[in-house]
Amino acid sequence: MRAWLPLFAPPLVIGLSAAVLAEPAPGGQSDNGAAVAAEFHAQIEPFFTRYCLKCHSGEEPKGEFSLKEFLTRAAIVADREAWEKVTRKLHDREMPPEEEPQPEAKERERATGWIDRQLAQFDCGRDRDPGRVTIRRLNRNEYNNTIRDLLGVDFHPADDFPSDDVGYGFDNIGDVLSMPPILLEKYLTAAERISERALGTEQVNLVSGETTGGEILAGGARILTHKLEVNTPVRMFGQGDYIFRVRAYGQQAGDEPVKMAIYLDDKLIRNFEVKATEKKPELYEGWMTTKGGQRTFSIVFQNDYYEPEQSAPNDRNLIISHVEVMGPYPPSSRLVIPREHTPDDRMLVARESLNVLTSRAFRRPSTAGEVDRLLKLVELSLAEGDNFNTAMGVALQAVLVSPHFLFRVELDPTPNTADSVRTLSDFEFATRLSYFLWGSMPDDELMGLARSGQLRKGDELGKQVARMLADPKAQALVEHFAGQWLQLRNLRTIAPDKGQYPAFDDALRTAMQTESEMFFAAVMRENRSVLEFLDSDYTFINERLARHYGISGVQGNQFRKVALEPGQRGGVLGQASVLTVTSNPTRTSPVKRGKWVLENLLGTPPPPPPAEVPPLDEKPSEIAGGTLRARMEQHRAKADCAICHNRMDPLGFGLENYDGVGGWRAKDGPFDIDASGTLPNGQSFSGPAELKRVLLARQDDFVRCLAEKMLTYGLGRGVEYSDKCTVADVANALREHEYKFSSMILAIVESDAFQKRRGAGNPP
Amino acid sequence: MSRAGRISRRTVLRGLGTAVALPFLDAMRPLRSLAAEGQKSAPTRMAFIYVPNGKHMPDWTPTAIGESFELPYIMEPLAQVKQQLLVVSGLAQDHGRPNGDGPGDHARALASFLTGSQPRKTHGADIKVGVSVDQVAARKVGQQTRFASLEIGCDRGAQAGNCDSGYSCSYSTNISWRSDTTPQAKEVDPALVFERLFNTGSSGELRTRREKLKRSVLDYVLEDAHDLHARLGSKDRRKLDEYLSSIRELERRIGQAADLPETPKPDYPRPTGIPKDYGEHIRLMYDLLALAFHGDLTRVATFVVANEGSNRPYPFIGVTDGHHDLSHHGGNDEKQKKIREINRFHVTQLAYFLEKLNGMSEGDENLLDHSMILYGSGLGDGNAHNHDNLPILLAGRGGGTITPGRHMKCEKETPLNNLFLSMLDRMSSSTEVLGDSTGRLEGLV
Repeated sequence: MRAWLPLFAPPLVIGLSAAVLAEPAPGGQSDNGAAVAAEFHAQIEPFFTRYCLKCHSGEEPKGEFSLKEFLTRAAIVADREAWEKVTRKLHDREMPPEEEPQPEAKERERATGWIDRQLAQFDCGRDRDPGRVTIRRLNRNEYNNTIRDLLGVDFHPADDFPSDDVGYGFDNIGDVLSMPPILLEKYLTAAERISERALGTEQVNLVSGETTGGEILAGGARILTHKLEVNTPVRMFGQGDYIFRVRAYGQQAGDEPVKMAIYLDDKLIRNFEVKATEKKPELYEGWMTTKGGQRTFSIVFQNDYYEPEQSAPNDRNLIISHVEVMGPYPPSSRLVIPREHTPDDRMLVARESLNVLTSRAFRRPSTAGEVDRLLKLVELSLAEGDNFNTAMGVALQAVLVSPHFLFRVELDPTPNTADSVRTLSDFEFATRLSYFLWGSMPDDELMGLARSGQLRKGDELGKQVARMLADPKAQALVEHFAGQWLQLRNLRTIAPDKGQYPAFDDALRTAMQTESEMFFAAVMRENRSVLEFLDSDYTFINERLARHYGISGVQGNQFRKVALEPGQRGGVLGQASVLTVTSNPTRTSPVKRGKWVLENLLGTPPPPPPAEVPPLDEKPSEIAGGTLRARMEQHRAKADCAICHNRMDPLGFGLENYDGVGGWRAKDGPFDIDASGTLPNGQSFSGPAELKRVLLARQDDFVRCLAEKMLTYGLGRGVEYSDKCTVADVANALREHEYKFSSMILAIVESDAFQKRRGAGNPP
Repeated sequence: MSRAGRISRRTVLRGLGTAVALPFLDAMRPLRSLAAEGQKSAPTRMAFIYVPNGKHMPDWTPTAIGESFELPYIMEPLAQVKQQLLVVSGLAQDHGRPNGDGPGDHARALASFLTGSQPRKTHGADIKVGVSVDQVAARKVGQQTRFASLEIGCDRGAQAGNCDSGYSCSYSTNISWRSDTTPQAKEVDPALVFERLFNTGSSGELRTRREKLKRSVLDYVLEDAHDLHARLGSKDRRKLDEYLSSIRELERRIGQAADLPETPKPDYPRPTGIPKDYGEHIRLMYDLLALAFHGDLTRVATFVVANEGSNRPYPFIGVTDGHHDLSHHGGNDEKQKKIREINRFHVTQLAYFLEKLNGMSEGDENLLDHSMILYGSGLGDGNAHNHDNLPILLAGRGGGTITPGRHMKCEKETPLNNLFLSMLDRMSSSTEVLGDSTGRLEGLV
C-alpha cells in the first residue's frame, strides 16, 4: 500500500517537472538518464550483486524469483510490480534473511530510496487500472446503520456480533471481513429479533373482556342473524398503529356476499365483503392509528337477508369465531407492509411489499424469481397458522440473511477476465457512495437518481456529495474514518496509570474523543481546509477538557467551539485523544508519537525495528542527565537504530510538552522539558508550534497521506501500486480547491477506482 | 499475596466449584453418543488457552525432570492440581519465526500457535495461514455436540491501526482457523456466550415449528448463495464459500437439534456483560467453558486470554506498565519481576479453572480426568522473541491416555505440532500431518 511512495526521498510532485519525471522513451533515455544510469552502475547494481544475487539467480532461484533478469535500469521502469516488491522487502527488513550478511542501514536506505525515486516516475496519461474490490460484507457499523435506514428500528443488533478484523488500518476491507459460522448464527438471531421489532410480531391480544352480542354457537363462535353487532372491550396502550382482526365466515345467500364493518368505538376502521364460508373461515384485518385507553371494538353485520319464501340458501348470516386487537405497531411495520389487505388480495399485497423491500434491502431492483421464492415462505408461514405480519416477518428474515443483503454484490459479465474493465451500474455506484459517506444503504433520493440514470449526469454527483456530507448520517465518516485514522477508537481500551495521571477518568476519556470527533466533523461539514488537521486556531471543548488544557472561561458539560491562543493547542497533534493513544500507560513515548506522525500524517512509515534491539534503560539514576531524552539519545548512538529513530524521535520530542494524557507540562519530574528536535535534513524546531510549521511545510506529504487513507476507506481495499495516479489526482484536486474537504471526497468518488472495476486476476 | 490471587466469595458461590454440584453429564449427554460409546467412558474434551508476550522462563520451567518436579514461582498457584499437570518443555513453533518474512513475531506467534503454518505476510489482501488443531478435531467430533467448537477471549479484535509490522490484525487476534483463510471469530462478552450456549429459545412444539421455518429461511438463502456463487469471480467466491460453509454448519446444527435433548438452564446466574475487573472477566469465561464442557455442549474450545502483543497494564497487582512494553525487558530485573507477576496472575486464573474441572464429577472420575487443557504462549521470552522452548502446560488425563504429574523435556526444536498430533489421536481425530509436524510426541503416557 505504501511502498511505492518515495519513502526516504524528498517529496516528488507528480507530473510537475518533465525533466525529472518523464518516463524514459522506449529504447532511449530521458535528459538525466545518463546520470541515473551512472548511479545505477556505481551503487545499485553492486548492492544487489552483493546482498541478493547469491540466492536470487541461477537455475533454481530462491522464491522462484531471479533478480538477475530484472537488474537493469530499464527493468525498474518496465517491471514496476516486481521492483515494488523488492523495495518493500528491503525496507521492511524481510530481505536479506537474518542468517545472511546484512547491509548497513545506510546502504539499505540508499538502495530503497533510489529505487523508490525511479518507481515514482510514472505516467498517469494512459488508461487507469481501477483495481478490483473483493465482495464486501457489511461490517458491524454498516449492519446497524443499514437496519436503521431499511426498517426504522435503531437498536444496534450488531453490537452483539464478534469484532470485524482490521486490515490496512480499517475494518471495512472486503478481503479481511470473513464469515465464520458464529457470525451467521448471529445474523440469523438478529434477523429474528429485527423482524419481531419491525413487524411487532410478538404483540399480544389486547382483548380485555367478554365479547357480547349475537348468539353463541356450539364451539363458542357467535352468529349474527339480524343487522346487529358484537362488541368486545379492548385495552389499548398508547398512541400508535393497531391491527384489528376478525376470523369470520358467512352463510351466503341472496345476490351479494356478507358485508361486515369494524369499528373502534364509533369510528369506522374498515368495511369488508366476507366471502369466506364455513368450510374455510378467513382472517379479516384492518388498521387504525389511534390513542390508547379502554375502548370498544365492534363488528357490525350490515346486510341481513332472510327470504323464507325463496328456496335455500335464503338466510344470510355472519359468523365470528375469533377477535383480536394487537398493537401498537412500530411505524417500521408500514415500511415492510405499506397497505392493508383482504383475504382476496393478501398475496398481492405481499408481493408488492416484498418487491419494494427486497429492492431496498438488496440496493437494486429485485428480480421476480427472488420475490416468488419469498412468497413461498410467506405461504408456508400462513399455512402454519401465523398471521400476516408474522408470515411477512419470515420473508423479512430470509432477506436479512441473504447474501444479497449481507454482501455488497457487484456482478461482472466476465468476472475472471483481468483486463475487462467496466463502469459500475448506477445502483452499484450509489451503494458505494452511500456506504462510503454514510456507512449505510442509499436513501430514496439516491436510488431514484440511480433508477433514472441521472446520478452521474451533469453536476448531480457534486450536489449529492454536498447533500450527503451535510446529512446527519455523515457522522459515520467521523466515527469510523476519523475514529480509525486518528485511532480514537483505541481510547476505549487505553488505561493510563492512575498514579501518574490521577486526573484521568472516564469523563475525560469521553471528552477527548468528543473533541476530536467534533473537530473532524467541523472540517467536514463546513467544508474547511484539511490542512486544519495539522494546525487550527480553534477546537471544541467542555469544562472538563478545558480544565485539562488549562483554558479558562469554559463552563458546563456542553462542548463548544473555542478560539485558541497560538502555541499550545490546535490541529490533531494538540488534542489529548491522539496524545494519549500514542503514550505508554506510565509515560509519554516520543517514539510512538513520532511513528504515529510518520504513519498517519506524513504517510512515510518507518521500517520495523531489527530483531536485536538494545533496550532503553529505565533507571534514571544510572544515566547521566537522566531524562528520557538522554536515555533515548544513548540508544540512538547506535548507527543501526539511528537511521530510523532520527526520523521518529525528533517529531515525538517536539510533543514532549504534552504528558501521557495530553496535559501541558513544563517539567517531567525534576527535569525541564526540552521539546526541541532536529530532523535528518537538518531542519530544527522547538515545541509543538514550530513542529506544526515543519509539518505544514510538508503539506504535500500530508495531503497524499490523507488521500491514501481516505481512498482505502472508501474503496474497502488496500491502495496498490496501480492506484498511485488516483492518489495523485485526489491530492491535486485538494491543492486546486484550497484543500477543501469536499474536493477530496469528490475527487475520490469521481475516480476510475471508485466508479469502475475489472475482472479478477492480474492485469496483463 | 496479591489481591487477584484471591477469588471472591461471590465468584465461588456463583461458580460451579465444589459448592454447587450439578448432575450435568448424565442428564445432558446426547443419548446417541452414549450409545455409540457404550458404557466405556465419558468423551474427551480439548481446550487451548493462550496467554501473550511469552513468559519469564526462569520462573516457569521446573528444574527437575520427571515426577519429582517442584512448581516454580509462576506455577505455584496450581499446587492443588499438580498431579494433573504435564509440563512439556522444549517444544518449538518454527513458523512463528520470520523464515524470510522479517519482523512481526507477535502476529506470527498467535497465528502459528495452533496451525504450525507460516502466516502469509499481508496487511489484508490475501490472508492465509493454515487450519488449526482445534478445528481439525471440531470437524471430526463436532458433529456429536450442539457446538462443533467454542471460541472465546477477553479482548475484542483490534479497533484501528496496524497490529504488527505488516501483518493484518487478523493474525494477532485469532487463534482458531477454520480454513487456512477463515479465522473463527471469538466471543468476548460472557453474557453473549451464556445466551448462545443456554438460550435455545422456546421449547416443545413452538421450537419445532420455528426450526422448520428457520430451515426454510436457510434453504432460501442457500439457493441465493449458490446462484450468486456461480456468477462471481474467483476471489469473491472464496467469501461466498465461507458463507456457504457457515450456512451448512447451521443447518447441521438445526437438523441435529431434534436428536439432542434440550439444554437445561444451568444453575448459574446469567452474566450481565463484561466485568470491569479483568480477573473476574477471565474467571467468568472459564466458568462458561467449564459449563459447556460439563454439559457436553462442545468438546473443543480455544480461549485467548489476551490478544498477542497486548499492552494491557495490570494495576490491580501493582503493574502499571503495559504488558508488551514490559516484555521487552532487556534484562532489567524490575521489569522481569513485573512480567512474572503478570504470568502468575494468569496462572492463578487457570488454577481456578482447573480446580473447577477437577471438582466436577463424571462417573467415578472428574471432568479434568477427561480433558486435555493446553495452556501456553507462542513466544518463549518476550524480549528475545524466541519461538523455541515455549512455555507449554498440558493439564488433565485425556480420558486416561495421559499420565500427568510430570515435567517432560523434549528434544530441542521438537515441533509443537507433534504434541497436537498426539492430542488429536486422543480425540478420535487422528491425522497424519498437521502444519509442520514431523511425527507424534511420545512419552505422554
